Amino acid sequence: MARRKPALESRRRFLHAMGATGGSALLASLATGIPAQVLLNPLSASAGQDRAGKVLIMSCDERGGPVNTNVPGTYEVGPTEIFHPQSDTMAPTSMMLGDQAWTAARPWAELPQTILDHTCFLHHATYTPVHGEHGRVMKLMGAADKNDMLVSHFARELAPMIGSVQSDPISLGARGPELLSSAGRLLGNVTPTSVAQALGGVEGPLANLRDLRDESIDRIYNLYKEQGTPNQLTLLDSWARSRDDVRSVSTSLLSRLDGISNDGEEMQVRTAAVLAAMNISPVITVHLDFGGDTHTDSGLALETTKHPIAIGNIRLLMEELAALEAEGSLPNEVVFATLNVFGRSLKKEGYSGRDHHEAHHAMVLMGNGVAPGVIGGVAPNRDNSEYIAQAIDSTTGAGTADGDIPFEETLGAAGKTLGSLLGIDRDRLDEVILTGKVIETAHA
Amino acid sequence: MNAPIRALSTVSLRTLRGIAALGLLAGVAGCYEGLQGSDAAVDTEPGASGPTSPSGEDTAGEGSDDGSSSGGGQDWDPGPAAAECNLDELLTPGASASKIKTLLTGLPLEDAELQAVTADDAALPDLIDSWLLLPQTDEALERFFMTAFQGTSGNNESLFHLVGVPAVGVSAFENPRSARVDAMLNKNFAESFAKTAVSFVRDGVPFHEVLTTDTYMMTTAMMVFMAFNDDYIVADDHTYFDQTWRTTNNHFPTVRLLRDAAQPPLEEVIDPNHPNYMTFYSSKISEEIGDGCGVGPVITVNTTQQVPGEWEIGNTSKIAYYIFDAMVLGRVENVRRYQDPNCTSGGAGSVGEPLLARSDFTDWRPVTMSQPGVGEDATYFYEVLDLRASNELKLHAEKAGFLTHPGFLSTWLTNEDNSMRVIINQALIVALGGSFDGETVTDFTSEAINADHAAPGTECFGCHQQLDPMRDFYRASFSNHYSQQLDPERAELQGEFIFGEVQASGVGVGALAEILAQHPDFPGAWAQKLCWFANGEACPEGEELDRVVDAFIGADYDFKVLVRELFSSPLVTGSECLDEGQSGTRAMITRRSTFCHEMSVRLGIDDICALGTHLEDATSLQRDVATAAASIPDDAFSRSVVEPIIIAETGLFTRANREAACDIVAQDGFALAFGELSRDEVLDALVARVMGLPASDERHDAARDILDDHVTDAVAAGETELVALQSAMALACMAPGSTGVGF
Repeated sequence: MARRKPALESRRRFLHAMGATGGSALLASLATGIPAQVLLNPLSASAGQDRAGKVLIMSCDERGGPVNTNVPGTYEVGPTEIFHPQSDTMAPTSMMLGDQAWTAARPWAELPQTILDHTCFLHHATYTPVHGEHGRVMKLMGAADKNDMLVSHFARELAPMIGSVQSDPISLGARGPELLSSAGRLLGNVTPTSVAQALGGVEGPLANLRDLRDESIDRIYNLYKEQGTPNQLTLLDSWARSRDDVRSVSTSLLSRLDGISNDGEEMQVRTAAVLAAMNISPVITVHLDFGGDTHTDSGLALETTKHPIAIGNIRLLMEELAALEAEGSLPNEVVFATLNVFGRSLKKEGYSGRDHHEAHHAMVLMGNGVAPGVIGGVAPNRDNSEYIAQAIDSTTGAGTADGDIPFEETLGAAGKTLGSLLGIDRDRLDEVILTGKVIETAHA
Repeated sequence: MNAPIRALSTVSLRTLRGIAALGLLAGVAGCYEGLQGSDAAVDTEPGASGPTSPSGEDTAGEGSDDGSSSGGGQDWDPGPAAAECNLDELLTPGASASKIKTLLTGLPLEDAELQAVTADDAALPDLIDSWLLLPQTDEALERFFMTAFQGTSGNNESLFHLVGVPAVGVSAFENPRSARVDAMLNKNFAESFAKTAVSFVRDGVPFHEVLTTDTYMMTTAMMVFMAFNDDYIVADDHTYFDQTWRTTNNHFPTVRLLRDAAQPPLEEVIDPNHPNYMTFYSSKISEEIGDGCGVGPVITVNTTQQVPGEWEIGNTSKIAYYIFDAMVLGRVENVRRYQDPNCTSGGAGSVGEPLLARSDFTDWRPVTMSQPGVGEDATYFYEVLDLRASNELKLHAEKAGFLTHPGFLSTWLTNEDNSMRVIINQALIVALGGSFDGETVTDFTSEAINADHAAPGTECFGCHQQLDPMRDFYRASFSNHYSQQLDPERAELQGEFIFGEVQASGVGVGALAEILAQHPDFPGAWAQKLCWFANGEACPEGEELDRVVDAFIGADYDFKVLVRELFSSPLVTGSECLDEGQSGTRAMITRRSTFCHEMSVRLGIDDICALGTHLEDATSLQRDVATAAASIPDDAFSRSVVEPIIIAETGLFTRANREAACDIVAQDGFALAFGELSRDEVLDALVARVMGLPASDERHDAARDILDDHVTDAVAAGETELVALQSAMALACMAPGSTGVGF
């Protein structure tokens, strides 16, 4: 076994060369420079109004909630083929997506038309029935470059485009497998109730001495660096950089977090909207519950209860973003999307509940630049025991047996389409997502 | 028990001890017929199956909750990396010792300890032995075991799942208001087995008895629950067996319900000679039952019959549940006149607050469970006065360490679809640090493989070939509600174990416990759990880890020996290069549990983040610090993921939340920590205790100067000396010696 050298002159020279604090340059503050824009309809922007990158707010559920089961595209067959809740709350209801009429469960159909005009339902598969593989789905089942998460790729691509404070995604409601990772680093979840205090600091006399403490902590960091190992230097620099990041966050919107009283779904979406406005990260994930793990959901009762709440919270998110944009506080356009570990069975269990469905999931896309419509679809499997996602025609967006996006590439295509909606360069998307194609009809 | 063990002659198994869960159950990704074997597969991981064309049948899964995967970033592929040991990365003896003492005790290194390890590396093992004797170590180990034994996720829903009735809201104690009783019980469950394991460490009990022990640390409230749960049997299909009330059946022929009077105390309610025996107040009687029903001050209910017009306990309520509900949960079920819809109390009411005492949730002691002998009754759940004085429970269901502990069961609920697949997988993860790898075993077949899940030739087969026969150990012992299995067909199921080069069989969870306790992967798995705790990553496999594990085995599984040998090894100290590769040199953030424990013991403020305190019972300081610290990452576990979830790096919110916590600690906890100490005494303490720099540390004096300058500058800026010292305290709290491990 070899032992450490007692003196590390080379390390000292390195430290002196790199400077004292080691912190990164401050990223651009949000407090100024946001053009005042008051738009009556904040979701009216189209591809023509290119603001480069957009922010992604994504809902994830490792339990595989039934978000896929009551969306348009699942109502075009008989009631004994695909089962939907029978309650009036979830009654099949007509809705307009663009110039085409579709049917969906009432909570979807009754979203304001201004939101539906920017909403697209993309049918695809995730290829796994295993809860624990949510992380793999977020890595597109191996189709994401370096086996990194899609949202982390997006965050790194978008951060320089939108000038966000950090280039790691943020999760507000993740537990267990829903925790995000970026370039091999597992990222901690941030609870909505802790955001205001984290960004606003603690009131009291110590607040007046914060700058002085920043100076003193830099001296302490330097002290530790004098004899620090490379690993220690890395962490010391991370502390300094994260401190700089914290200081660069505009606090002008903090009062909007005053009502954040718990860590539930509503508070997650409210917080996500404010964090988007603060331009802290290009990607924020939340956890919306469409019914959860509904194996034994007799009569699809839980699904019936949870859908209106989850969809209501999506609507709330859109309204919060609209309000922020109306007051000129939203520096970037925002796209909302869903990606769960898998969808749930549409047919095989009838009204007695829903099993895991690795062959169908619905990515709900909503927000600026999203064209209204339905992409892909479902079709019976060989023995007609279940409905599964179809291949997709990338030009028309239609689900078809011979689409140029085969079944096995629909997850990659969903990822690429989402990336393109966020403003990421197509060539770059081909590098970070190894399968699938951008589906053009998703773009407004 | 029938648990013959033999080594497999031909296996293609591997445990996943110490390696990332790369490709774990990757085969299950295509775990359904018809989505396999495509040229277009996107296999980037060994054994992974990418999606293929939907040409087959039965394309929907069966609800596979089993299987493993890395939800985190461990399988990130950065490309080729050098594995050579970098001498510059090695830690000084002082940094190593500080790291280990912080993790084990939260306390800073004393000056004499620093001098000892600086003079002689060999001093470290003895120091570790001495640290293991400190009470602070019990607290640190308890948090470690809470995560390691995966018993912390119980909630209202899981509590009622175990009881076998729909989940409902429950009461709390009043004046001052406590947490709700379900949260109090679940906290008991979460802490119970960790406290049990700590007692094993303290007493030198062979650690593999965590699998077989019939003794848990319990509170009286937990004993009441365990006895009731053993009494009230819920079958796999949610129905109640005829034997439902096998212990207290007919014990409550009459109950008296009070319309107006206050709830009599527990001592009177359970005293057969007292007029208030089995007498309960129900808020719903006066609120809901109309005048025409002839309700007097007392309703007497004959629970042995249903007579039209007479009062009965309504709905699905069973009388023993009624009693349990009132005593423990502070609720009373519906009461009504039989077949008279106009005379009903409607929903459940309240007795005011639970009849148990608050102290029944905190009076921890070891309780041994055994089955009643011939002619002997099991424990009566309602005999609370006896239970308070007892260390024994007589229960029908067999108990086997953490495998049957209510914390573990609450965390990993099951149902008929899942049928124990999740919990058997988690049991392997906890006990052996391994999971199913999806490779087919060539010399093993079982009739217990679920054909829907795992037809031979499919990629599911390798997992389910082992998983389905193994779950029968649990199915033979428990129903889907974790009641004792009374279905004779299932109770006779023979579990078949094939994992990690061991093949064995037996009936019931006790047999499984014996197999796991003797499994060769057990000691190494627990060494690796400690590696993750100490290093934030697995230790490299090789001679040094083998030596540590051998020492653990040689000491008859004395956990203290494992800690001493591992934590004094270069695997954790990071002070030497190993042939296996560099280990233990990583500088990490102090995760929440360690940070909170560290601040508590270094400042002398008990449980400063309320980690072990319900927020309802917490001081304002504890509540504020707990809220601020909530987003500092803490160790966790995840379904089907072998490795613990450990976040070792900082970020914007981690940093900001820790700063907020430190500011609150300094602003509101200064007086508690330092009282009337002088400026110099405070600064000395901040450097030595909070920053963890003893006098002999070469950074000590400079750090002291920085704090002194800070106070001087703050006073010069117009602040009082008290505020200036509080600011220095916040500064010390944010220093690498307190917010980091490995400095």
